[in-house]
Amino acid sequence: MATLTASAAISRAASLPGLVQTRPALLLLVALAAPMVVLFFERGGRLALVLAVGILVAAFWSVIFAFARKRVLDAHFLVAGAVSAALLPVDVPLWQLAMSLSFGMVVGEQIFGGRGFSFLSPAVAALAFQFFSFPATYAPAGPETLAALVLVPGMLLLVVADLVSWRVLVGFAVGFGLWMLLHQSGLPDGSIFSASLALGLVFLVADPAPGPATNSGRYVHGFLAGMLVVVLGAAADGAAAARTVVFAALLASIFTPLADRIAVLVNVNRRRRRHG
Amino acid sequence: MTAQANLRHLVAPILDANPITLQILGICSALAVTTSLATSLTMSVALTVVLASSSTLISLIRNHVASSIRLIVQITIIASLVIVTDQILKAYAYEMSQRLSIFVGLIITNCVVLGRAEGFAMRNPPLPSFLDGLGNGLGYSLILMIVGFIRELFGTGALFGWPLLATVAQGGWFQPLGLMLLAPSAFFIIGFLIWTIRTLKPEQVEEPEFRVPSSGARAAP
Repeated sequence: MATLTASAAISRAASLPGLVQTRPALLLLVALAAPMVVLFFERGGRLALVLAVGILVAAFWSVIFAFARKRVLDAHFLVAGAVSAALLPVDVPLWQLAMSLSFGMVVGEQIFGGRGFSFLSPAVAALAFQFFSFPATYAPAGPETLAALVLVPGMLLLVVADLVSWRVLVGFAVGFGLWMLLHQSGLPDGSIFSASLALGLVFLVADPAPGPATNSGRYVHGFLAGMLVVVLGAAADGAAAARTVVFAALLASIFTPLADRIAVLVNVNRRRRRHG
Repeated sequence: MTAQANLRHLVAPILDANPITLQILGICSALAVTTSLATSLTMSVALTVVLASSSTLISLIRNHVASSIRLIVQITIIASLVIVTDQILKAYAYEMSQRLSIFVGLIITNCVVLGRAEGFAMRNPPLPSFLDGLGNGLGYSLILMIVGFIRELFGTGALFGWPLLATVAQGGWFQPLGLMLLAPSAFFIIGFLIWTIRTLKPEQVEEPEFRVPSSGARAAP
């Protein structure tokens, strides 16, 4: 609870009432800060450039659409840009990053009406576009285990602040563990606790705005994503964990509205039977 | 007056009532054959010929067909025309017919063709029916050519197989977009086309199923 009040205080202090929606994005950025610092040391200075371009492109489209629609600007573009930059190889050509993020922000999010209306996380759409269009960016990165470890406190903060659903995490763990056991094989060494997988789990799979809206949907979403990480990771032996987690998140996001729909129908039918 | 009405039958389906972007028909082949301009053009010509002739033929016999068997008669006429077209392609452009695989044959099931037969040719004289079929074929062709142009140019750097942009693999500067050669890209391009057309012609915009409350308003409890 102490964390919650502290985080609420931080975000309240930094919010610009009426113009920009900052609270959720700010907490996500707090959680992202520690792994980003570690990644800077591991990948070198070009990450700053990639990060800056990612955030600028994401900001550009968000501001244009918020302005055109006369809506409050959601600062989540900061997270979308930063996470996309972190999940791509550090030597990604900047124009490719700009193109993919433009696609992700417009087609993955703004076209549906903005943050909260889309069924996809803009970073997932951007990264999927990047991996489909430029297969050369598949080059596997190192596991970068330290960055994954320092994300854990941030993840707990997000769970406490209700920005990451523990149900998604539990579903993910069960799906991931079960499929690892069933197949006896699992992923290539190192990619289990890689930075890409951890960042992908917290910021792509568990992204609350496009994610499931029912509690059962959350378990299903996490389970699907966890299972798919194993299936896709094993299928593309030795591929970068980033690609695996992005496509797992993409496929899970596509099926989650169905899980939500079924959960709502089941609940409606149960209540109708109970109350006549 | 009549000439003007006839012209309207020909021109309206090209943009104002486009079979793909307004009626959202014929999407299947629009996704499948548009990886290159050559296949798009062949498919466009094949469909336009089939559509114009089937509309004319069906209109000619429209007063002699019992309503209960009209669909069977329409499908028979369309299927015959499609088979003839397919055989001509196989005889004179074998390679192209291989590249189009089953999609020329699938014109039989293309909703644009049956839609115009049922929706127009059964109730109108031959000349307007011919022009309506031709117009719809041209509207379909227009979208196919635009999508094929974008996909071939950005997916391979070529147009009609002629290299225009020197790709990185050939020592040039152009990095082909792999996504453009996959079916989803046609979906996105058609989506963007619909967006553009409906921005220019707001009368095509459909009534939304839900309205988003404006930012100041509170939702009713």
